Amino acid sequence: MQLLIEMTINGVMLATSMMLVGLGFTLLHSILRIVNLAHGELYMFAAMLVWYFMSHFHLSYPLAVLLSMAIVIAIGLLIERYGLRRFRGDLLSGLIVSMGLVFILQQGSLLFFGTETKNIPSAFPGNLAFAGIQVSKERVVISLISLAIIVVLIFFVNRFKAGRAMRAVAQDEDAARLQGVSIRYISTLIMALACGLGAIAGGLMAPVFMIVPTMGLPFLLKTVIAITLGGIGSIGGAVLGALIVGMVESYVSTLISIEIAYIALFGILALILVVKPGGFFGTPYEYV
Amino acid sequence: MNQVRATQNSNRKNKIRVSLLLAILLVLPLFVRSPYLLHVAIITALYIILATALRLPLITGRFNIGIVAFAAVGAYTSALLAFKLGLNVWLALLAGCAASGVVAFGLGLIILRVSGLYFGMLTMCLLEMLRHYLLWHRKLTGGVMGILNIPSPTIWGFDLGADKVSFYYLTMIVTVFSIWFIYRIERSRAGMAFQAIGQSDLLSEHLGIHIARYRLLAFVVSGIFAGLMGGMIAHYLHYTSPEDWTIMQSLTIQIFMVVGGRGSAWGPIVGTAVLMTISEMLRGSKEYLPLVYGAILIPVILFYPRGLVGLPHSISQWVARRRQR
Repeated sequence: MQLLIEMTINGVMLATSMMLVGLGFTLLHSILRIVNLAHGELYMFAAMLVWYFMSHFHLSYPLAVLLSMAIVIAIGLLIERYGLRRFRGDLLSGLIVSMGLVFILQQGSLLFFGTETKNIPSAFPGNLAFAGIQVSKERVVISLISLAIIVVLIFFVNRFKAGRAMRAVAQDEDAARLQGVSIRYISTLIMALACGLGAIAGGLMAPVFMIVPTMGLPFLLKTVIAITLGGIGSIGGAVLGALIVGMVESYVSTLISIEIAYIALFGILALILVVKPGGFFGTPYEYV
Repeated sequence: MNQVRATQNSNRKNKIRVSLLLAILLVLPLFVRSPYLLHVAIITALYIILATALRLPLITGRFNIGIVAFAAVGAYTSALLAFKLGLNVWLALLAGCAASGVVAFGLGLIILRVSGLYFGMLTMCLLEMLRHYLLWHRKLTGGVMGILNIPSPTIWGFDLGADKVSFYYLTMIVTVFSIWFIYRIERSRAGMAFQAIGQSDLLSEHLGIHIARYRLLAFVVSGIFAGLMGGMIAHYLHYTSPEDWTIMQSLTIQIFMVVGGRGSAWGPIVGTAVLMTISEMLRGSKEYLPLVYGAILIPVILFYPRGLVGLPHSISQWVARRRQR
């Protein structure tokens, strides 16, 4: 029972952080028509920065997270302004540029932050005892914070004027422009939002995992599996897909081994694509 | 009429260029005696196969970012058959190609259903899965250690791996054959269909082109040649391990192709040759290499998407414009 609860909490935590990264990724893809391969690197970079601020400047954990978030958003906006904005709609070129960014960010942080393994002391130490079952407090808090952010984001996209403008751009760019939506403003907003989400995920996961420069891309890939499972372009689908991927990874890697977890994930994905080519909530085929 | 003459002219130019290049490649070992340079030439030629194979699905609008996975399948199949079962190396190489072709076929049926560039992301996921499988199945693949002592190919008892020159010639034959084969496919009726699909899915479907089938064909052919490259490099280095087939490796191949120019068959060749030369010049400080790749790639794609191949044309045009003034 103890193990079961632990695995579930672990899975939920993985899933929520995947949702944060994945929502940013889908927002960029469906609204800006950009596939940003470097999105996982921003997640990694945020975690690195949190470690850097905490170990070199002895900042407190929340302050370090906020500061790293601000820096990552600034970097993201620079990338958007001088790189990705030119490739709106040209998915292939955008992807290639982001490949270059992966190289630069990954190797740059290896050179800048050093090669030693980095750990951050837990921000919420201790356990929660509930009916005789011990649960790591940290993981519960992380999951709750992430969930709260996701709920706020969904609320924002559905209810607020800027959120509605974003959805309008996703549906039909020209019509949205005719209604007075500034595409430039929306694209800056989306990039800031996506980078902020990725940075929060990185900051929240920093005390849980070991921080290494190569952790970004594999994490993004798992997220992509989650998005594809749920249906590309659907927020509800991304949430469901992330839950499935997180649970499978947590259960299988605890019970069998991490390698089998990866193989199982791809097996599930292949199965879903055969049975329902568009994922759970997606359209089966899109002419892109 | 003018246009016909122009294409004939460019055809003749291309023929001259190709025969010149072949002649240089043929006599190169007579002048270059250093085994190190020959080694670099062999590795570069093998990477050229991979970068060229990459272009084929790209023409149909599908970016196979995880192409190294197919090379890994070819490498491991060929190495295991030759090393564990003692199969003839040539047969093992063919079996490696066949295996990667079959894998590409099976996976293509499934993942080609996904739209747009999520396909590319999924091929990358696939590469990661394959690597984890190779790490996990230690009994068969040797885990992290990989497979050591892979035999090299022989002809009538003559060991081609014994000295770099003979392997150099073998590699060049294989590379030229692969490039020629892929080029012929690109110029065939199927290649025309690939290009139509790449330009517009919807339109080519209405023209009666079976897009799923042609995409699968492009994917499988590129998988087969990637497998060939994998087998060759495994038999050349006598060694293969999961660390040779990583995502970064795969991204590097994409960068080779894109920097060279993705619009032309010369692109992967030029890009790989130039970037491999740069990487060998930076041999002493390998840790800066990814930064250099990124710093080369981003300006190229931002300001000059045609790649290095387009440079001579642009320069000659610029000179002509200067002269007119």
